[in-house]
Amino acid sequence: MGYFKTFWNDFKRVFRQEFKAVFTDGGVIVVFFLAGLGYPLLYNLIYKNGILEDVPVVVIDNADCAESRCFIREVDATREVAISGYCATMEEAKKLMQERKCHGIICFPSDFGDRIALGQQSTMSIYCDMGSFFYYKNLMTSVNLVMLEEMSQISPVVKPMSFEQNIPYNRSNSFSFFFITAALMLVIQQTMFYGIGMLAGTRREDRKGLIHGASGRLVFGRGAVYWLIYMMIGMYIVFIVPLLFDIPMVTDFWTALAFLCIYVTACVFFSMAFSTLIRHRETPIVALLFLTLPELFLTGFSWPQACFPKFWNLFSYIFPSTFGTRAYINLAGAGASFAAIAPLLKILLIQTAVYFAISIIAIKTENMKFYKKIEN
Amino acid sequence: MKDILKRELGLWKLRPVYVLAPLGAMLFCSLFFLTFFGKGAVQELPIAVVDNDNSSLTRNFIRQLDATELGKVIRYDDYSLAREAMQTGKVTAICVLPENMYSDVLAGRKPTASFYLNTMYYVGGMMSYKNILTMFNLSVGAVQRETMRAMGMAEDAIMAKIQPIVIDVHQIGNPTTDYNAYLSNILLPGLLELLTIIIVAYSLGTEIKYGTSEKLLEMSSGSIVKALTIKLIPYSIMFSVLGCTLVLVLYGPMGFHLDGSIWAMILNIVLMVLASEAFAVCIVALLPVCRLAVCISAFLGILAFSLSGFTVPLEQMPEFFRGMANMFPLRPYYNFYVQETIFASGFAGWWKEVLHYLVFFLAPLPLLPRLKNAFLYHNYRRD
Repeated sequence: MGYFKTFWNDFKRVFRQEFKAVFTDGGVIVVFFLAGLGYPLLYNLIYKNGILEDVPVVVIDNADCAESRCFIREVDATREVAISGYCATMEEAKKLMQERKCHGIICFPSDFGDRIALGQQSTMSIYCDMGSFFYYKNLMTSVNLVMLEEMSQISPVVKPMSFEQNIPYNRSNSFSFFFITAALMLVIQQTMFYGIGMLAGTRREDRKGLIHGASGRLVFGRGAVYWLIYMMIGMYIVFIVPLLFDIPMVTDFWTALAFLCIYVTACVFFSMAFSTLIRHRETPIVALLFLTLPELFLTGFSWPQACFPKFWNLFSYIFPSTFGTRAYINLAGAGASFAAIAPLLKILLIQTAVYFAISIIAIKTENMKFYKKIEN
Repeated sequence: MKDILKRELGLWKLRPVYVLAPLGAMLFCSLFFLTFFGKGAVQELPIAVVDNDNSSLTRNFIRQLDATELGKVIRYDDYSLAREAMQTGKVTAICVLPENMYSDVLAGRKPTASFYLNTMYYVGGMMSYKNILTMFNLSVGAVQRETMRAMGMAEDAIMAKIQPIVIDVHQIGNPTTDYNAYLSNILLPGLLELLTIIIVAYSLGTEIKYGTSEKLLEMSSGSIVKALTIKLIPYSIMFSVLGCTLVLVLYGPMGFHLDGSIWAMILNIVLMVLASEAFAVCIVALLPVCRLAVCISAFLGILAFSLSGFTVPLEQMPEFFRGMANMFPLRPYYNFYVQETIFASGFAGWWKEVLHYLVFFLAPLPLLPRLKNAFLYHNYRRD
């Protein structure tokens, strides 16, 4: 009984100490609250318009026939592209593209209409500015749509079969939905990781916060503080931010909450385990901030996971964000059931257990070393 | 001058993080990004197919789809299983082939196949879609061709009937649509910018934190301009060397498209490094507290990636952010890069970006008296 009492008292003491440490440290407040609460808002504002519309494109119409004019009108009418002008020569068009006044060129050869009239294949050329893939995507989508439409008018051949397309999630192919859902989960892990690292660094600089032979209490006591703060931030990110910006959130409250509990717990122990390596308070940001970029791509939000090289796929198992983000995209974006994301959650739980064990062992060895030094 | 340089190198020895952090980070991230995307094209992307017909036509279609470079077919027995795989991101597209598809085609009853996409996984979803669509249209064309051949039409007349318009696509600046080149070209210099800002902010911040800044000013006989310039020389050299190595790797062994001159790109990255240092000086002058300066640099530095406009173009962002984007040295870097690598337009194309960089060098000047005060009197909390 006595053991539990000291455990509880120590836990409370550590909890209080850490709570105070968080709220008296300007740097940690910036990382936890300014970054944790601010990034979701900032990214949503930056990517508020998730769809690129009316990319300016110029036309060189050497054919000047009914078919080419019709084609141009229809391209102009698509959502993706706007015809911003006509050029007489390629040189002129190229100059406009180089000045970035247009991001694409559509060029009709002089025999465009004649060949169609003769029942021959006509070739037209398009030139895309690859400075951003979105210009390319827009021009290709628009021109292909119009081409298919035109073709069925030019040569009304019976199609033996047809297709229908359904885009059940992210219906408008919005860029913001897919980026932001991934970024939101990464914000949770990264701000926590750097904040906890800074706290651990400060403790080592000041040589504070050790209790002889009490690693469990330290891990639980501190972990509880981080966990509570991040459940709050996490609920803000998962429930309030989507409401503010109309991001899809198709899962129900309890499933999302259960997921959040598991993810935040894994992140807490992950951050605590790695924070034992940090000696100075600025080290985590100065030396480890770069990890954010690879971590973002390892979630598979952009480059598909099926195409990961084997080594990096294994490497991605280090980070809770890999699985947390995937689970969140599937939950919030595609409305996957809890059972469907269970395999991802299982990995998060294993990570939790492993990182918890590492935190305990690391603190135990650190304490042992420290007290040995004092005894000597 | 020599003394200040010697002192700085002594500090590097004392805290090797100044050198090891940027070196390690650049090395790791270069390795990561340059190997992560493989050949830069999506390959063998899993596509779910539910074949309710099981005829020679559908089996042939599935074989063709599987044989494409882009796709790998995974067959599911019913739609709900396939849907679950799509919901969990295992596949990004489903193709449902209806019952009696073949016999309907033969009888001219125009069966309809259904495609489902998950564009929450954007690249995967869009690529699978493109693949399925191409293969489907090819199958349609094949059936049409069979019919017309049976009618006795000539081969080129058939092609003109099936596809009267052919589009010839030219991708200027990235002819192979290489995803690796597209991202690494900006992500890695962006990382260098981020590291430069943070390390310089940290280095100036620690002068204040450990109260060594007075000594520094004393050594430069009280001139803050001299003190900063000389103190930052070793950093400028280190980051410029890192930058030049990066540029040489990107356009040398990696073989990314470069239409213009490599010297211009070297100039570009050196200017970016210097501008980033100026950016860091501004932040420390505004916030002369080490921990805050480092945290705020990191906070802002991460935004530079999005605001450079290399993924989502700037013109689509709200006006406020279009302005804010110019605050970061990565924006002129990107514009310069487009002019030089894509259009090879030389000085005429990028002189504006050089002016933009010059603004960065002038920006710290009005803030220097404030920084000097902080260096001398430590009128802010020291940690």
